Amino acid sequence: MTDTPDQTEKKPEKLRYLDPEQVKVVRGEDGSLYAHIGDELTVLAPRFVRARPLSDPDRYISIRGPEPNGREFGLLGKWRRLDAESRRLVEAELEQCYLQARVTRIVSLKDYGGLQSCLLETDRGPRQVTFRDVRDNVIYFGASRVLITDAEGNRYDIPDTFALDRRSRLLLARIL
Amino acid sequence: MQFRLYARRGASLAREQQLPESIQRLIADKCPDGQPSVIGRSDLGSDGKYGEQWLALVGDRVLVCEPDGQTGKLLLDLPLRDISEVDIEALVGGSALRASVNGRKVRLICFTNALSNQFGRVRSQLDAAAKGKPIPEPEEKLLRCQTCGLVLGEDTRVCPRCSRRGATLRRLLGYARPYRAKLMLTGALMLIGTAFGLLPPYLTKLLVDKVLAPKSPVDKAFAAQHGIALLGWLVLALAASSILSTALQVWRNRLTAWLGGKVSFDIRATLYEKLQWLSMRYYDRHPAGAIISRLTQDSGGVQDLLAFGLPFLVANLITIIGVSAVISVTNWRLAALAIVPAILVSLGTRPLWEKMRSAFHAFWYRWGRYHSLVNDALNRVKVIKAFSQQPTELQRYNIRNTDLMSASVYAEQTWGTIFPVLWLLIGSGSLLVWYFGGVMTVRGTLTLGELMMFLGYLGMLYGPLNFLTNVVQWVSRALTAADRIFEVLDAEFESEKTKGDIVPDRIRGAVEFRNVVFGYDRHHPVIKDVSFQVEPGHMLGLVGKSGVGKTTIINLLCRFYDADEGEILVDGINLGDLSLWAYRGRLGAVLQEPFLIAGTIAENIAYGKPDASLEDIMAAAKLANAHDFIINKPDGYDEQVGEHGSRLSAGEKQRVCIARAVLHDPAILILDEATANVDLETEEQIQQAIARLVEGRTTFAIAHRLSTLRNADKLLVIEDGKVVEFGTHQELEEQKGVYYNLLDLHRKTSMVKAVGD
Repeated sequence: MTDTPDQTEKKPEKLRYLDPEQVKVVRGEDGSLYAHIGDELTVLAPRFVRARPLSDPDRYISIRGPEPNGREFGLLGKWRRLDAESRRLVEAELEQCYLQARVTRIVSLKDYGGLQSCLLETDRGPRQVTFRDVRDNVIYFGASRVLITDAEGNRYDIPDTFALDRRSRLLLARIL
Repeated sequence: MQFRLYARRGASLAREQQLPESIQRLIADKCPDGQPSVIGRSDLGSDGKYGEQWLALVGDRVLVCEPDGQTGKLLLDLPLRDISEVDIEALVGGSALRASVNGRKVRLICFTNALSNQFGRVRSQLDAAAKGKPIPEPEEKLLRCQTCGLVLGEDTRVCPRCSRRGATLRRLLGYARPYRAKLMLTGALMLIGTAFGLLPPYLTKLLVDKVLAPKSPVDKAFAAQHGIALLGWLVLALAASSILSTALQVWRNRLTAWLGGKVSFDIRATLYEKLQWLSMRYYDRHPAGAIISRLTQDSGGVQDLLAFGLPFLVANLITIIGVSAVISVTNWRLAALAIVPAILVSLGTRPLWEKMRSAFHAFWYRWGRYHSLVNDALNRVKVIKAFSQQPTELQRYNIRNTDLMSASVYAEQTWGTIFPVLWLLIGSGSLLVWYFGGVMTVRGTLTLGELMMFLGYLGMLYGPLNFLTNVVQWVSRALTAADRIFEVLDAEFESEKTKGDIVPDRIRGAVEFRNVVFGYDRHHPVIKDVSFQVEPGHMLGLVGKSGVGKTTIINLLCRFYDADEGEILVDGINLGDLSLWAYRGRLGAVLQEPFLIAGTIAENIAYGKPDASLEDIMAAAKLANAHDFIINKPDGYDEQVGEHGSRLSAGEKQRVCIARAVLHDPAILILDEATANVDLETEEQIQQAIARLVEGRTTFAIAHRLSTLRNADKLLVIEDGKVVEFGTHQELEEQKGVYYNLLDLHRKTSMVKAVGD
């Protein structure tokens, strides 16, 4: 009998929360990132992963080892309080990892029977996108936030549909 | 005839209890000083044909006899003391009451399913008597309509025969009460609109008689002088009345659309709320597809009626009355010629109401069935593919689809045939007016203008009359739908039987079952006289083969069902007396089939505690060994799990469920573990998470693996709905009984597994 719980290696039961003062992120001379956590440990090429990238992106960031399922070294709340250099590096990392455009305006929409071609204005610039089966590829957050995935798998965030201009809202209502 | 026998509820019970004279004589002969304390009448003879047999408990003897001449024939005579237990054996199309006599099962009496309720009562009475307990009072459930005697379902009191359209409609309109002001405005608009609508034919009459074809010298002179000016004014008036009447109509239509939408919104909301609180028994009997169709199709039908059907009905009725009044005043003879055929046709259509109602009833029912089939098939698409059963599925589908088609074709064709013929009949009145009115005009008793006005009004009359017959379809469809909705609304609430209101400060989790008897079908107990006790914080392992009643015990503990007999006590309080809300709030479950709602992982973990903070959610996930896999999802805790959690693996789903239970922090935990379909490492993680979860909680575990059995403080071994062994792992192992054998089997299979690895 080897399957009794007592005999398996126990994973830690508790989360480790980190204060911004405990964490320092630097770019080494070799170009790789280092995260110093307290005095006790340094993580080479850490990954910064958001706990709730959609609903509360800045709340907690998990600092993890580089490998895909790397272990967690701690959860960093209020990461914007990191020192300026660390914050800049973390911000740049996050910006690269979470590629998700925020839609500010829907300029035009053409419907080709199930396929919609849209010209969007986003915080990353204008973009022509194609939606397919758009009603199956949309996530609603609360009453007014919408996330749409286009035919190629890119995601577009409309944080508040009511905040869009009237024309954009009308166009949006045609596809949702 | 049959129904009249059950005209009143009391009569039906009396009839069951009234022994025929021949049987009374036989009993008096056998037991001179005894009165029967339990009586049951079967509808089958001893030869198995429809007939009569009686079972009676007289003194300490159970007698079964049938009427035969002066004194009945005795079929069976058993001393009560020889009987250890009484149960019901399910046969096909009927059942038999069975007694255990010296370890042997003896059939006492057979009966058809029509009497299963009555004999369910006889069973519990006889069983109580055999066990030396007081005989329970017969509990008569209302299963037949009190008015007509029609057999009703256990969960409904709506008798389809006695439910009246008027009553359904009144109830439906009751939902419009909050919007009374708007409703009255609509009514006023209808009246004013109709009044304006009545003007044009009258203006036409003036136009013809005063301007275009004046007959009298005075009119001629006037027309010669002011003809053009008058023409202008009359046309202007015509235009004004048309525009006003249209404007009012638009206003009214917008109002009624709003009212209809709002009322059906209210009905849907009430219906959905009710669905949340219906008993599990209700859901056992009604397939989800059928319920979904009530929420979608039926409420849609009701909305159609409220938004379009009823307002048009009322508007047209007002028009009919107004037009009839005006033309009767002008020329009552001619008016009679126009109206009488129309009324005759309307009366003639009355039987069609019923025909249409049943046709559409069939159609809706088949819609529900069709819906269930499609729903079911799409849910097990994998199984269908794996067994290459597409042709079979297609065949099943085709049968349902054909059913649906034929019902819809029948309903629509019936309507499509009746409608034009009605139109023809109603229209025949205008031919009469053309002829007789024409004759009057030629003879000079009617002016040309009046004839034109008449025909104009007739045009207005036939339209609404035509609609009135058309409305049969709207109304019958919608009232059937409304009936079905009300049926759900009238079904029994889950906690109606015992309305507990005790809200304890805290639940410690001491659980006791005292002589609990329960069956999903009330008369076929699955759990028989189960008693045991669990201390707070202890873990009880339920052991036994599948189908012996483990899950049923859990269902009772969750209070999805109420025990038929006996008591379940939590912290010494009867479960029925506890507030269901408070109790379930302290109950948690990790089930074999992890159920997840469509939403984010965070929402799923916080399902039992919606106000939990992110920190709480993450802490629970960490404890459940779920935090790491969640964080590594692209959307982290915001990741959508998909419908039924389809985007997560089996092991991930399990751990999300465990995290949910951790966060819910239940005093009593139900664990129906299943880790068969996950890899070893995941299984270990799940095991570890479970071990953390059960700490300090009263846990009921349906145990499949040895480790759980060992960790349990006590084990309850169940066979055939009864407790056969109860004790610690060690005690039971030493007993060398059922548990020992199971354990042996477990060890052997584990060894085979080990060798195989």
